[in-house]
Formats: sequence, structure tokens, C-alpha cells
Amino acid sequence: MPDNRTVSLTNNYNGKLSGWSRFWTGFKKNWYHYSRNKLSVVGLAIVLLVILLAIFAPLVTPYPAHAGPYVDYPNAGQPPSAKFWLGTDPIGRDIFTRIIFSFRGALLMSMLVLAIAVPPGLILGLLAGYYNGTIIDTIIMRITDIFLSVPPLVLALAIAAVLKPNLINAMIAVTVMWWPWYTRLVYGMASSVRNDYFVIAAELNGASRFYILFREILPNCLSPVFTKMALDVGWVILIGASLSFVGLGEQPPTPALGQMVSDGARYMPELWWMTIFPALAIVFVILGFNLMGDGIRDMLSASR
Amino acid sequence: MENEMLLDIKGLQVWYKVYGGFLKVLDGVDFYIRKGERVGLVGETGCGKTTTMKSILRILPERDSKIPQGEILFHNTDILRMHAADLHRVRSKGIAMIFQDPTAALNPVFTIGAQLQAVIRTALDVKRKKDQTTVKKTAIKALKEVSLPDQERLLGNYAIQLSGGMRQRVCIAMAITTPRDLLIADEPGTSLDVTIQDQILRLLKELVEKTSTSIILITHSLGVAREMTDRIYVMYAGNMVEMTRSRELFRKPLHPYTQGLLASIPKLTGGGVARGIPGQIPDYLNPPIGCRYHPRCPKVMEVCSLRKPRFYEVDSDHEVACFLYEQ
Amino acid sequence: MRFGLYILRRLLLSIVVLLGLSIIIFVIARVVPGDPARLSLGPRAPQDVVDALRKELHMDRPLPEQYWIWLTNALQGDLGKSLVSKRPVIQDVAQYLPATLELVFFAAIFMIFFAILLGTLAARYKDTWVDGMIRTLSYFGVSIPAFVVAILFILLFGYFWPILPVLSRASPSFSIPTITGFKVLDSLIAGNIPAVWDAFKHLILPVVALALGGTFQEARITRSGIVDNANKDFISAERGYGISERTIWFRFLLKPSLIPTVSVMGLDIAATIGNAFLVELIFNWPGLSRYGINAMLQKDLNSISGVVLIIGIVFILTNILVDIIVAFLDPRIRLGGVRGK
Repeated sequence: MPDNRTVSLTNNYNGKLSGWSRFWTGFKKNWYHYSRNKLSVVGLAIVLLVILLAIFAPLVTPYPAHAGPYVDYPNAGQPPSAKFWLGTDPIGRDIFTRIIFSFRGALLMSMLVLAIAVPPGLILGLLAGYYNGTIIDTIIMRITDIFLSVPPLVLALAIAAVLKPNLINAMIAVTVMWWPWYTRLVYGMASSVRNDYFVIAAELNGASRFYILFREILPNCLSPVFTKMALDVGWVILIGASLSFVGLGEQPPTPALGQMVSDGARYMPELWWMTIFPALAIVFVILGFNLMGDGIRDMLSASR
Repeated sequence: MENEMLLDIKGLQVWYKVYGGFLKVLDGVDFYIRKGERVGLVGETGCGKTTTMKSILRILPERDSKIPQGEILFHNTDILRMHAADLHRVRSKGIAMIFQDPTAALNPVFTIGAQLQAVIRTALDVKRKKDQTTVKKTAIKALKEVSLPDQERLLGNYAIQLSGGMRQRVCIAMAITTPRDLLIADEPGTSLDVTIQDQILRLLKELVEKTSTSIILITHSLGVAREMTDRIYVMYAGNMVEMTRSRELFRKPLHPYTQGLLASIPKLTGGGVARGIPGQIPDYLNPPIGCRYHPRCPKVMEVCSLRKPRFYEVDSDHEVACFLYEQ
Repeated sequence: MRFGLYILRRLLLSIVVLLGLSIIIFVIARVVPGDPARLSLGPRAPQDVVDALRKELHMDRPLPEQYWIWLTNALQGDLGKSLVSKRPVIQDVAQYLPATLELVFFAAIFMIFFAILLGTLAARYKDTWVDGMIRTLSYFGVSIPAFVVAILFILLFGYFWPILPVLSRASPSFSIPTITGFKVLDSLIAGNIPAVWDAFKHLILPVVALALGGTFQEARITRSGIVDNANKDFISAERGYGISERTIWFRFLLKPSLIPTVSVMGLDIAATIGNAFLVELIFNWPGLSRYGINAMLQKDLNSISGVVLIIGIVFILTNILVDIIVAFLDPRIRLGGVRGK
């Protein structure tokens, strides 16, 4: 059934529009698909909120100093009140402030991990898919299998444990176990696209390997990769929280969500807010990225 | 030689729900078939042939489809208003449909035997474990009827292990496990090799002649329709536009669409390129007012865009839905 | 027969993968931490003691040789000695592994059962409030980390509503001889029914905490599998032949729809095993994961490598098992499109 709106946009106007106008039209079309599901919009709102809070943390929190070395024993263990919205922790720091500041580490970790892990994973997947059936394929995929033979969290814990506990090492640990998922994802698509006619045509025309890989095959693999990246931000935050729960990752006094949950657990149930609020914050953030990721997937599959 | 009326569809309308409204696919379909007849239904892809057939068995997608109007009389009872028990009887003993794509019509994770036996048990009203031998024997007999070898072994095979032609034969076998009043064959063999298709059609012809079951044969090939049927309906965009005896249709096509179809068949002799029909099938979301063919019709008149033509009887057993023949 | 070959190939491949894994583990345990000997003895130990330990650990030999020594020992069951328990690691593993396996096993059962239940309900009542509620619950269920669920359970059932036990595997009032290491099984063998029930009760909370995320994820996959298949021709055909809705739903529609769900099980079991590290810690469950996390935090290198290796083996075997089940459900995989005779 011809969709008149789509036909006119793509057939009649694309060639005549400038780059930015084309971008805007494409954006509006994608937004239409994305916003069909109200929950995805909620997810996007949550994600944007978290990012903004993280960036402007010192400005939006009532007690920015509490995110650093700070003690205030007289105020320790206060329940939620007008003064301390989510209560205080065992040494008197405002939990609300610390939660907002912990978003910084979480987001930084996710973005850096993905920025470092995805490109090599992608490239290896492309290569393995392109050289499908050869020894290059076998070697790459066996190595991928090796890294995937252990549950992700286990490997991350092991690596983070033998290194000194800090944020950088936690990131290294997660990056090392994250790339194979992208290799596998891209490998599946690249190896099937690899035999499509347009690739063979390019090869026959003498196009360089580089060109074929990046200009012909890669664009066809990108949608699931983007969807996965959006969802993965949430998962990396989850793993990061799991690591900091056992003390690996951000070290005190810098706040980290998992660490706050674990610190507060000792004081349950009387001082329940010390655990519950950081726990809810974790759920909130991950939920936001999950909803957004679903929305991106629906959007990308609808505009095919 | 007027046989009794078996199936009589009157004024059937079927709508599909989509984003933005309804696809008004069938817009008042009239169709009938008598006992022992072989009727062909010809039309291009998307004209509503399969939708019509699915409505007969009431297997349209429940949530996304709607039948605002119409009657489907089977043995003089309206299928559309039947209660569950009667509908069950129609499906299990009365009418059987052979789907277009045999690969899609077979459940990929169950054996052929399991599916055949489920159909047989339903038809014979057999409870689960009893009479297992009878059921199995019936299945084997059906497979023999469609000339499939090694029946016992076949029962344990899965659809994936069979070739396209074999799968089609299995689908036919399912339809003839028990005697039925009416068979509906939806483009049998279309997705297969021409030689295999020929075999399948020959098989169908034999079976029908042997048991004098009525059959509705859906096809988009006029040649097949002419070979295999007594009477042909031509369908366009959700309406029947012409109906007559098979030979007569080719001798004297009356509806402009039929004429266009026949003219677009390339001829091996005579030279020249076959003419097609300019234009496209209409948008079911906003179908044309009046006759749905009028935007493409070379003989269009003013009345065609205002009212819908009904079937006008031009001869005995030759009806056309066109204002050119309005009396 | 084809399938038997397929399994054999998988097993051989797994051996290659395990070898590769062992190299990685070796690197993590020996190469990465700098000086393992110094690490285990602490910064105050005198240098000659450290050197003696280095010699004992064969650290004066070239790396490949060290690896070879480690590997051959491991193959004979010698994974070194734990610095914390002072016992051979293999002994610790044997003691704690069954508890973790019990958790993972019951978590898998929970996941499959409830995923099918919820997924089928959501599909059956598609676009009604049932479907909407299950979808909303799924979003939350998937977003709550297992350790958060565990903490919430402790809060809820430990303090506010003590109807379920929150610590250990069994009440001290029952003493069951350990035969298999699986409390439920051992209690059954001993014929002590109250003990079986007691073991069960102790399992509920950790199992649910571990299984929750996977359950909801698989429920959604089940739902979409059923919805996809419900419109397929073979279902319409079966309905057209008069086959009852009940038979269609519980047999002909369910089986093909379960295949994507079971395929995902492998990943979910991976997540379960990983999450067990935190959940066992929280519930004080004496399993391999709790042992492992403690080993990691105390930098007990031999234990760490032993635990990771064993978990790798368990996980690889589980994946093969899941693949077998999927192939059992889906003849297309088993038979790979082989024609006729």
C-alpha cells in the first residue's frame, strides 16, 4: 500500500534538499516512528534527565560537597526530611546529592566502555563475516567464543579483582568482556550480507577491501548495533553497579550506586533509606535505557 | 442438468483493519458453486481471491478483520452466522482448503504424520488414543491417493525433509483424507516448477473426477482455469466482474477487464508485443467510487464513476458486472 | 546420526575453547597482578620468603612453561591450594559447587515455567489489560538487578514479613547426610519429607531473585513468538480443518513459539551464574559463587582461577545442553534441510 507521505519525501524532494533539511526531514520521520510508543518517550525523558543531572550535578544538588571527602557525624543517619530529601548516610552525607553525583561515574563508564569496546568488536565481526569460511573467520570466532564461554559478570569480577580497585580498572575489566558481543552480532549479519549481489558487484569492480567493508557491508549492519548500544549503556551501568556493590570500581569517597546499596544494607531495616533509594535509582536509570533502547529498535525497524 | 446449490456467497464485504482506517478489500462478492461442479476463480494478485476463500472457513485474522455484510450459504445455512458446533462440522467434514504455499501451510516442528492424523481425528470425531490404527491407515491411504511413495516413512518426516512438490501433495492429501463436499485449491503449484505444477494439477483433476467432489480452483493463470474448470469467475479488486462457462469466456469475453487480461497473454504466433493494462489496482483504503475498474477502463462511461454495477445476465450462464451490458 | 556428529563437533570445539579460556585465566591470575607471590604474602613479608614462594610457584621459569605446568596440574585435578582455606582448591570446589548448581537449576526451571505462563497469557489476551500489565511488569522486572531484588527480599522477608527464611540452605534443626550435595535431593533420598520442604523454602528467595530478570525477558520473547506464529498459514490451515482452539494453542502454536525462548536460555543462565556471585553473598548461600567472590576480594589467585575455570566448564556444558533441547524442539536444526530418503 503506497504511503503517500513517504513516497513524496523520498522520491521528489531528497535530491533537491540541502544536507540539513534532509537531516531534519529524516529526523521528523524517525521521531514519528519513535514516539508511537509512549513508553519509549518516557525512556528518552529519563535518559535525558539522568544525563543532564550528571552534567550539572554541582549546580542542581543541595550539597555538592557531600560527594567528596566530607563527614558530618551529627547529621548521620537522618531519615528523609525537608533538609535532606532522601536522608543521610552513616557519616552524614546527603544521599540525594550522592546519587546524582554517582550518575557521573556510571555514565562516564558506560560511554567509555562502549566507545572502546564497540569499534574493535565491530571490525572483527566485519572481517570474520567477510572472510566467512576461511581461517580468519575461524580464528576470530574461536577467540570470540573463548571470551563468551564465561558468564560476563564472572569475567568482569575476576579481572577487576586482580587489579587495583578503581574506576579505570573496572572499565578495563568490563571492556575486555564486552567487545565479543558486538563481534558476534555483526558477524551474523556480515556473513549473510557478504554474499549479496551488491557486494559481489563491488568486488568485481575492483573496489578495495576497505571500501567494501565500510561502505557496503557495514551500513547494513548498523541498525541492530545502534539498538544494542543504546540498551548496553544500561547494562554496563548494571555491571558497574554490581562491581561497586562488592567494592570494585569507584572508590570512596566518590559515590557509586552499587557501593551505596551495599554500605546501606548493614543498617537495614531501621535506616532503610540508605539502601532503598540508591537501589531505586539503579532501577530507574536502567529502566530508562531499556525503554529508550526498545523505542530505538522499533523506530529502526519501522523505517525500513 | 441443474444440480443442487452447494455454496452461495451473497454480497460479501470484508474489511481489514490497518493504521489509518480499513482496507475495504471485498465489496459485495457474489459467487456460487453447485454440487459436482469445477469452478475457477481468476484474478491478479491482491484482488481478494484468498480473502474470499478464507472467509468461507472463517479463518480471517480475528482481531484485524471485519465482515460488515454478506451471507455465505452452505447447504442453505449461513456459515457466517453459524454456531460453533455447526462451524466445526463444516470445517472438519464439509469443506477443505489447500493453501497456496505448501511450505507455509505445514507446521515446521511437527511431523507430517502428526498433522495428518490431527486432521483425520478431527474429521472422524475420534478421541485421542483410541482407534489409532484406523487413523494411521487413513493417513497412509490419503498419501497413496496423491501418489506419494513410502508412506509409512513419510509419516515420520518433517516438512523440511520434503521437496516442494511433495509438500504440495501432502497438503492435498490432508484435504482428501475424508470425503468432503467442497475442496478449495488456492493456486496449487504456483510456487513450484512448471513441470511439477503440471503434475499437481493433473493429480487434482484425477481426484476430482474420481470422487465428483466440487472444487473451487483459484489461479492467476487463465490457461490453467480453462483446462481444469467448467465455469470461471473473473475477479477484480474485490468484486466479481464476469462469470461464464470456461470455453465461453475465451470465446467471448465481455468485461473490459477480461478482454484486457486476454489481450495481455503473449502469443507465440502472430507477431507483436502483448498489450498490458495501464494503471494499478486501486488503493483499498480509499477505493474508487462506483465501479472499481473505471479508472483503468478503456470503455469507461460517466455512470461508472457514480454507481456500482451489479451482475447483469447477458446469456444463460454468462453474467457481467458492467454498465455496458445493463438492461 | 547427523545430529550425533553435530554434538561431537560441539564437544571438540568446546575443548579448544576451554584451552583458550585456560590461557586467559592463567594470564589473569599470574601475569596481570604483577607479582602474585608478593601479593599473597603481603607487603611486609621479607624478600627471601617471597623469593622462596616464587620458586615454589615456578615463577622463575619462562611463562609458557609456567602455563604448561599449571595446565597439566589442572588436568589431573590439582588446581593449587587456596590461600584462604589452606585446602586444595579442588576440594573447596567440590564442596561448594553443588549448592550453586542447585540454585542455577531451580532458577532455570522457574524461568522457563513462568516465562511460558506469562508469555502465553500475554499473547492470548493480546492488547488487553492483561497484556499491558505483563508488559509493564516485564519492563520493571528486566531493569531490576538481581542483587537489588535480593536486598529487597531480605528487607521484606527478613524483617517485615518473616514467612520465608533468608539465610543459608537449611535450618540447623535438620541434619541430612550429604550424598549428592543437593539438599532437596539428599533430603528425598533420606526420606525426610519435612527436610525436603525446608530445603525448598530456603531455595525460594535466592532462586526468585536470580530468575526474575530472565523470566520477564523470556516471557516477552515467548509472547512475540506466539504472536508471530499465530498469523502463519499453518495455524489458519489447522483451524480451517476444524482442529480445536485448545489443541492449537497448547500444541501446534506453543511448540514453534518456544524455540526462540529456549534459545535465549543460554544467555539467561549465564546472567544467572554471574548474578549468583552477588546473590549468594547476600543470602549467605554456601555456593561456589560466594566462595569465588570471597576469593576475588581476598586476591586468592589459585581459587580465582579454579572457580573461573570450573564455571567456564559448567557454562559450556550448559550451552551444549540448551542447544540439544533447541534441536530437539526444532527439526529444522536437527535435519538441516536434508531431502527425502
